[in-house]
Amino acid sequence: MIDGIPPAVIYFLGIPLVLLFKGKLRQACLLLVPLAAFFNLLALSPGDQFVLDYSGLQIVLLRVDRLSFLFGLVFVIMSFVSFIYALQIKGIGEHLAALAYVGGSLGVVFCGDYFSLFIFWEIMAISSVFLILLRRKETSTAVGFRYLLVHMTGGSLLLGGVVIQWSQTGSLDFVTPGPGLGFYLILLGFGLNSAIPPLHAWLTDAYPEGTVTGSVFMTAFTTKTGVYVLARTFPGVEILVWVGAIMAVYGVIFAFVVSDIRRLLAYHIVSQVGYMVCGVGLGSQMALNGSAAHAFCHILYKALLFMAAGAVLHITGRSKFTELGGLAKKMPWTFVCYMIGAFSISGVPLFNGFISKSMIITGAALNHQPIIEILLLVASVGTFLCIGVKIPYKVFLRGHMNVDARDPQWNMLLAMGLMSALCVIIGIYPDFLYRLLPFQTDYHPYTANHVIRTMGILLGTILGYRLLYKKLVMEDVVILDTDWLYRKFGIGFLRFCTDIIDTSGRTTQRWASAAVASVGRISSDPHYYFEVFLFRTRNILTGQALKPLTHKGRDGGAGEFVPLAERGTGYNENLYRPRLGWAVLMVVLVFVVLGWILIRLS
Amino acid sequence: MKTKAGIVLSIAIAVSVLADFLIAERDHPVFWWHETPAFDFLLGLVACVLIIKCSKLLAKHWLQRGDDYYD
Repeated sequence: MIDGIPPAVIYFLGIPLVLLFKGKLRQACLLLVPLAAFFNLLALSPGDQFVLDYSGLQIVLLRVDRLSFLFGLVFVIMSFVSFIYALQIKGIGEHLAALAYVGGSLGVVFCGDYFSLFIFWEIMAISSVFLILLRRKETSTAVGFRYLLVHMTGGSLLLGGVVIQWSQTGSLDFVTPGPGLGFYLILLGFGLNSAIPPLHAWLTDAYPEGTVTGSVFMTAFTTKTGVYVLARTFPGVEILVWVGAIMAVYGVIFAFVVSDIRRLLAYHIVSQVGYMVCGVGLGSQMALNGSAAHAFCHILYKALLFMAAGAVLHITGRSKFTELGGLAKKMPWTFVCYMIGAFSISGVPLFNGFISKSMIITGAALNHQPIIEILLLVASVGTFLCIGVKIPYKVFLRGHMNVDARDPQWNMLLAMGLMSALCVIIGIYPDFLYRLLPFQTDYHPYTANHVIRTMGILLGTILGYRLLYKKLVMEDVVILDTDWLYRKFGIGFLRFCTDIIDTSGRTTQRWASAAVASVGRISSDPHYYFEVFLFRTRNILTGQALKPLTHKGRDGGAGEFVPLAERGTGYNENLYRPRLGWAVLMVVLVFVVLGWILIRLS
Repeated sequence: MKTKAGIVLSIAIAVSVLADFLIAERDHPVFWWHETPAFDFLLGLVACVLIIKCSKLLAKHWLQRGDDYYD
C-alpha cells in the first residue's frame, strides 16, 4: 500500500544531490531538501501508509497520524532553519551527516514496525556521531567514540527487546510491547535516547563537543525521537512520571555548576525532556498533549539557544563562563535572539515555552500528583535561574573580554531570527500549535491567574539570584556525572583486567619457559638426572643429609654424589642414534600394517 | 535594591504579589497552594536559593574536580 512518500526518503535522496553539486548549488540543495519534505508533508493526511512486503514481513515506512505528523513537521522546520545556519560550512561531511541524521529521525517518526524503527534508529546514531567527530579536536574524537559506544549499547538493548517481542507475539508492529523482559529492554533503549538518568551522560558529554552547527542539529532529533517513541508505546507508564520529574530537577541542579555554556544548555535538555517524559508517564490527554507541544516548542527554543551559544563560540572561539563577558554590546542581535530563546525555555508569557510547559504541570495537578507538580515548578525555577538570569548576566551583560567580537554572518543571524520569530508567534498564537496536537484541546494558557502565577515564580527567582550572586564564583571545573563510570572507573577496571591478564600471561610464559628449559636440560643428559633422582631417593630413605648437586668439586666421599659424566660414563646421545633409526623403521612398519588393515576393512 | 534594576525589581514584585491577592478567579484549583496568594513568588524565591545552595554544596563536597581530571 503506497499512499505517499516517506519524508525520510527525501532526505536520503538529498545526499547524492549534495554530493553532486558544489558552491551555491549545493547550498540550494540543502534548502530544497527540507522544503520538498515540507510540501510532501502537507500532502500527507492521517491514515496514509507506505507498506512494503519483504519475505512476508510488513515493512511500514509511512504511517501518518496526528502524533507522527506533529513531530515530522517540527523536524522538517528545524532542519530547514538549521541548514540555513550551516550554509557557510564549506566541507561536505557535516551536511551529509546532517541529512542522514534528519532522514533517520523522520524514519523513526513515520515508521510503523520495529524492524524499520531499529534500522532508522541506528542510522541516527551512526550519522550523528560525525557531527561530533568533524570538529576535529582530540577531545571531540574521544567524545565521539564514547557517544557511539553508548548508542550502540542502547541499540543492542532495543534489538534484544524487539527480538523478544517478535518471538512472543510473532509481530513486529510498532505498538506497546507485551509484558516481560522485552518490555523493559525496549523501554531502556528508548530511555537511553531520551537521556533518562543515569543513561543521560552521553548527551552532556557529547553536545558541548560537537561542531557549532552539528550541536544545533543534535539538540533537536535524538532526544525528541526518544520522547516520540515513548509517547507512542509507553503512555501512562507510572515509573515515567517520577523519572521525568526527577530528571527535570536533576538537569537544573547540575546545569548550575558546570562551567561551559553549551554544557549548561545540554543539562537543560535533560531537564526539559524530563517534563516530556513525565507528561508521557501521566498519560492523560492533557499531559500527552503537553508533552507533544513541549517537544515541538523545545526543539525551536533549544535550537535557538544552541545557535546563539554556537555563534559565541564561532566568533570568539570560547565557551567557558570564565572566558566570556560583556558580549551584549559586541553581539547585540545574538543577545536579542538568545534572550528570546531564554524567555521561551523559562516559560515567560508571550513566548512558546509558556504555552506548552504549563500543560504538563496542569496535567500533573489534574492527575492529583502534588509532589510531581512541585518538582516540575522547582525545575522551571532552575531553568529561568540558569538560562534566563545566569547566562545573560555572566556572558552578555557583566564583565569584559578583550576580543574583537561581532554578530555572526547573515545566514546564522537569519536562522536565529527565524527561530526567534517562531518562538514568539507560537507564544502569542498558541492555537497554531494546539490545532496540531494529538488530542483536541480547549486549554487556554492566557488567563490572569496563570500569567500572574508565572510572573511570581520568575520574579522570586530573580530576587533569589540577586541575594546570592555576589557569593557565586565561576571556576573552570569538571563536574562528575554518571559518565565517570565509563570514563574513569571503567578505564580503571579495564586496566585492572588487562593487568591481571598481562601478569598471568607473563607468569605462565615464565613457568612454561622454565619447564621447557628443564625438559631441554633433562633431555640433554637423562642419565645424569635419573641418577640424581636415585641419589636423592636413597638419601631420603637412608636419612642422610642432602648434598649439593653440582658437577664440580666432588671428591667421591661417603654420601657425596659423583655424576656419571665425571666418572667417564655420562650420557652420549650419539650412542642411541642407530637404535632410534630402528625405532622409526618399526613405527613406519606399524603404520603400513595398520593402513593395510584399514584398507581391507573398508 | 538601591540600584535602578533593584528598584524596578521591587516594584515588579510588589505589583505581582498585589495582583495575586486581588485575583478573583483561580484556574483548576486542585491543591491548597493554587489558591494561596504569593505562593508562587515564595516558591520561586525558596527554590532558587535551594537550587543554588544544593548544587554548590554537591559540587564542593562531592562532584567537583579540576579541569584536567579526565585528561
